Amino acid sequence: MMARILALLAILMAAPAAAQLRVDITTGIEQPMPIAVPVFPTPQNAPTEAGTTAELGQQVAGVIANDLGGTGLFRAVNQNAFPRLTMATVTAPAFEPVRTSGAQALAAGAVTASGGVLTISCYLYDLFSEEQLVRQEFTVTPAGWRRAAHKCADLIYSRLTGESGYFDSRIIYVAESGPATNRVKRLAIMDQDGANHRFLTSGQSMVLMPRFSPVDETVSYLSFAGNRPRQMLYNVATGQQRTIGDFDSMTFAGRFSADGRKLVFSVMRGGNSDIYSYDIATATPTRLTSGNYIDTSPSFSPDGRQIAFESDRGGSQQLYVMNADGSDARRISFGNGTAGSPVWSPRGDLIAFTRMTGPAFRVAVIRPDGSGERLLTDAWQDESPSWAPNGRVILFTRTERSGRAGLRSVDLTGRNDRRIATPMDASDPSWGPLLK
Amino acid sequence: MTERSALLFATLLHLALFAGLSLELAGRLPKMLNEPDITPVEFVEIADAPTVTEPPKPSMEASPRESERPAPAEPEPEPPAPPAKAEDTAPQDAIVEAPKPPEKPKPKPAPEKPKPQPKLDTGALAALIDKSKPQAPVKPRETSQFAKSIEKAIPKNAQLSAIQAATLEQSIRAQIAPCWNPPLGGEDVAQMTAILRIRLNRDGSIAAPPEFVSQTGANAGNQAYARAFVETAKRAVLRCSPLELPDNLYAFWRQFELNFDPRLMT
Repeated sequence: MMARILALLAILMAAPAAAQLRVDITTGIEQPMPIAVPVFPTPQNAPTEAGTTAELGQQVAGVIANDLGGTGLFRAVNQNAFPRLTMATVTAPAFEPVRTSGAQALAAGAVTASGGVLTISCYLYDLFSEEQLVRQEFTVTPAGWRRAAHKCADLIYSRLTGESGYFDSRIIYVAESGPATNRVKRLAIMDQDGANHRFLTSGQSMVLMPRFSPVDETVSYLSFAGNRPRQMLYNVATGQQRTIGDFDSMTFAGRFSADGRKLVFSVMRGGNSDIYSYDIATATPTRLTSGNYIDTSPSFSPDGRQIAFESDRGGSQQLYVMNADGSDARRISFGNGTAGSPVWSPRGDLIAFTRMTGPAFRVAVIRPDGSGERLLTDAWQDESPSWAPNGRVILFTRTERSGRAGLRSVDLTGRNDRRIATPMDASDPSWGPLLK
Repeated sequence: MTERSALLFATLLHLALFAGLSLELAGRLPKMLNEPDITPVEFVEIADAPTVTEPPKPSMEASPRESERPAPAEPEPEPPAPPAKAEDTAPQDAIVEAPKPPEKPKPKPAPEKPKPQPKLDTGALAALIDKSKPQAPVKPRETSQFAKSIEKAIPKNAQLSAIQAATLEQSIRAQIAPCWNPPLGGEDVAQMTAILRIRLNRDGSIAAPPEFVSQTGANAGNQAYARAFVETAKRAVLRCSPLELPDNLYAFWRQFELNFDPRLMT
């Protein structure tokens, strides 16, 4: 008896140190995280070909705030709500005055011009732990200041979310103008935020389906120059282009493999369409599907082992996944309506596609095993999905009932559906890789 | 209907488990402590009830052949003619048109510091769960954990009734959850959890920086995400402090652990 009492006493005396109440936090909030992006100071206001360093300091902060805000995950706090930073305080900011603005993080930096180049420094602080989370410097020509700002925004985004960034990237698409009977379609390219827009083709002949290589500045597209459809490879940096393949019949512009070495596309013969992979270096096509079906819109998985495509082999247009050698095709889309234009996420976890139910086209995602289908948009006609390089955002074409078509982006939650401004009607976008 | 029956089965199993544990505790406690109040464990679980709600079943019936869009060849049909703008005459490539700046996000008023809420609306949050995603199997909860920790924590003459215990847990949860902005975009978010140890002063302020205890779901391929995840949890605690908790129960919340698990949000 005495021993038991002693044991009990021992337990009770040891208890306070061992006490461990554990509370599960299973929900949180899904509001954008407030972040302070003050004007980047400059040690000395110097003129550059892109404006003075003081002006650039303001513009760089604007680009970063716009990039981060555009994700729907962050919200830039009004710059008047906290003190301006100086060259001295950029590296050692007072946290309390910024924290009272409601911000949780501080993105800071400075712009310095020297010897014809700009150095843009970039710092990120956690306003609650009061730690510097990351810092980096980018050296660019003055004309390249936007890229440095995007790089800084990518750095901040990836540090705070743990995902890779996507701001320093470009979009290629088909710019459309003129009446339906004589529609002019030109290739156009711009930064992912719509800046630096330019046309790549004159519009004298039609172009369709531009697709960015995931590794470099090569674009594949379908040219109708001379009224003959041909697959082209075009280098955006050098302007060089060449015809690929030598098919006696209609081919549809392919998508690159993740290493940029292969293309997959479909070749139409009669009423039949089959999928081919094409080795760019050796110019060797390999036929992957056969039979009396319309097999089209192929897209490689990021590991190159599988290909998603659409086919009517089951009686209606649906999504299928097969091995990269064409074997073991299995249907993955079911449900109401038909499904087309599958595009494998660069992350590998999802396939984006167009879900067609009656007249409505919507952008949706599905897992490669056919589970977890989700609609991300809900408008009249949304189609032609293309993934951001980090696999979190999808670019697509929205056609209004009026017939006007434009570009939009939506994130995987489906709640951040945004217009991407283009100078004229736009369709068939392809998001390029993160620039180096 | 297999999902429904599986959920039902799981729920029954849980109930059976709780009952068993409660009985066991009820049997033991009087011997260890002369605190007859401390028995019902179920109160803790009440707050988690939405976990068991069944999501609507995604309709995955195979569709028979449809012919609304027969054999689509790839170029999509041209959209109807828009009102044509005749600005498009130059044949050269060098036309540069200033694009409109992308739409700016609408500024929202700065959020006030979240106040402790009497009750967390877990039902509404659960309703946000993606309906078409099959519900991940619900992890078995360590329901006995809380009761055991109370049992151990009780100094000689302290009294913490089960209701007080449940209220304390509820209060902590209701104050931390509105400050937690979990990074839901990560590929591995469904498996990711993090446990932090919290030490508070008597006024509810943080006595020491939140201490990382452990994490699940982290692997060699998602280190950046795992780190960002833990940081959001730490930030939530720092943002929401000081916590407002009953002074007379300070012995029980002077130090505790928070398990951050966004499962209900993904």
